[in-house]
Amino acid sequence: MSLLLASLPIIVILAAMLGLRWGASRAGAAGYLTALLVASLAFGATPQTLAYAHIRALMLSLDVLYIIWTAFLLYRVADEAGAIARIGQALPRLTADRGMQALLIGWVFASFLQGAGGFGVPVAVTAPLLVGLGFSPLSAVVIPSIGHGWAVTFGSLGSSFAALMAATGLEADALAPAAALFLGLSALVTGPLVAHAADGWSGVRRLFAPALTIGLTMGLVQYGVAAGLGLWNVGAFSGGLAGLLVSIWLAKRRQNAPAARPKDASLWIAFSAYGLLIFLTALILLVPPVKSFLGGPALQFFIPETITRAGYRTAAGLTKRIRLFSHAGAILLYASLLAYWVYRRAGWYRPGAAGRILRTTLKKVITSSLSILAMVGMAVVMQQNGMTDALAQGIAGRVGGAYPLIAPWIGALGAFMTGSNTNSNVVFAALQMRTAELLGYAVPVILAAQTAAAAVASVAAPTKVVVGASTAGMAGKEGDVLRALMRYTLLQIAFIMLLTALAVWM
Amino acid sequence: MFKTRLRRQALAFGLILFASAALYPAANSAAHWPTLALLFLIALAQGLILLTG
Repeated sequence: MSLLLASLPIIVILAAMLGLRWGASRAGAAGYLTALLVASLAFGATPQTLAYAHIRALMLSLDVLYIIWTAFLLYRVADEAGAIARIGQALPRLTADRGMQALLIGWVFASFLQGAGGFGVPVAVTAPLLVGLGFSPLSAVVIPSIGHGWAVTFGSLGSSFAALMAATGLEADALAPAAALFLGLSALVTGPLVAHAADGWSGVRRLFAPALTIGLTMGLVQYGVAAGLGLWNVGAFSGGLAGLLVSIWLAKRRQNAPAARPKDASLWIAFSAYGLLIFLTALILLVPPVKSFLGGPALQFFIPETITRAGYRTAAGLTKRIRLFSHAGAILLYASLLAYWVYRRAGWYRPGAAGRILRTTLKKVITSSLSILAMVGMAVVMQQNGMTDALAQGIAGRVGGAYPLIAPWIGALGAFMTGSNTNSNVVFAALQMRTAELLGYAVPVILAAQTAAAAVASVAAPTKVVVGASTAGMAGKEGDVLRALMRYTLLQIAFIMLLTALAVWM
Repeated sequence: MFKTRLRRQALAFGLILFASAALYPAANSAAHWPTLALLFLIALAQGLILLTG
């Protein structure tokens, strides 16, 4: 009975999104209110346990929202200047090989866009480009959907990974290596899948070598940056950028084209927003005097030990520390302001650009902000009042030794239902962590399975499919897109299940 | 219609942030009523989103 009650908030969210087709913010509100009721009536929550749960949830939410808001702001600053469009238009001119075009635009450029922005942008930008190159609308949606999934966790300038850390209380150096390894290996298999989607098995045979080279480059760079240097906020972005450089070189080499420099500086200016981001990230996080100067002012609270009426204890501790001026969100803000100045000096903005940037940013992020507040609130209320523990005990008892095979599918289910790697991490990461602890499995490996599977599955979420289909003129035919996409997505999740099994049992 | 929805969302967002922050001093005090009142405010804001989207 306690297992059913403990799982009720999650069931409510999934039923609301899948059955009633509610958005994440509305379904999140339903899940949160359910958690509040169940915790109070069935798990002995007190005003104190609920209050401290909300304070912890607030800090975890702000940690993620700081990135989401400013990441989208940076994307809008570049997009309003036409920078994204300029980069996209330059790429098809590099090669006439359609398979290579699919790899370049539908995989590498889509991954770069996911790293830099996310929020449905990869498919929305690349699908029309592929249609313009002569790909069928179905292929134009499916190719970039498959192509950018591996970059989701460390993409959006780290917001999904930040949610993973927030939900589990674990630091980046504990989580990043396993997650980056799983996702890097996923990048390796993504290239051949994209080649297959573009040109069947002949495409796979013809493009296997460049796909392997590009996948290896992107996976290794993401791993090096996120796990090696600890710069997880630019992990997928750096991987995507390295992939762009390597694939441009490969495309020219295959065409035997002389290395051409851009006729004007416009492509360099277009990239300046992201160049500034890389520079500022390295400056603020890797140069000790700058890091310590900006890292001083921080927000953090002490939470005392709490006990529910049912006797469930949560130990005393500190909330997540938010360093106001060296946080990933702060770096994004500095990059946005500087990039705005650069594009304005270059004369790339139409009048009223600043107002449009701020308005569209607000409109876009407010809904996802509400869903984050609701789902994080729900998850922490569940944790603080013993509901997550009850759920973990129930799953551990029923599934036992097979849990490593189940863990990726839980993450994938969460992302498929909520449309988001971030939301899946918020809802399921704490549960996955607790279950792994109870069963004695390595927590970073199970959490890597959670986030990697959620990343690749999020692209097939109905909400994402609807957005992608509409940009390629396939509105009303989302079922066709989902059917075409599903076999690739299931293959990718099965691959992650295999990686999890190898990591746990070898 | 769209502007109204945006304002509702912004109001709910602001209420949740304010009430959650105010819970810290409230939780540390001996009386329960400030905590319950703030929790009720958060639930109300979430209820607004639940009912109106």
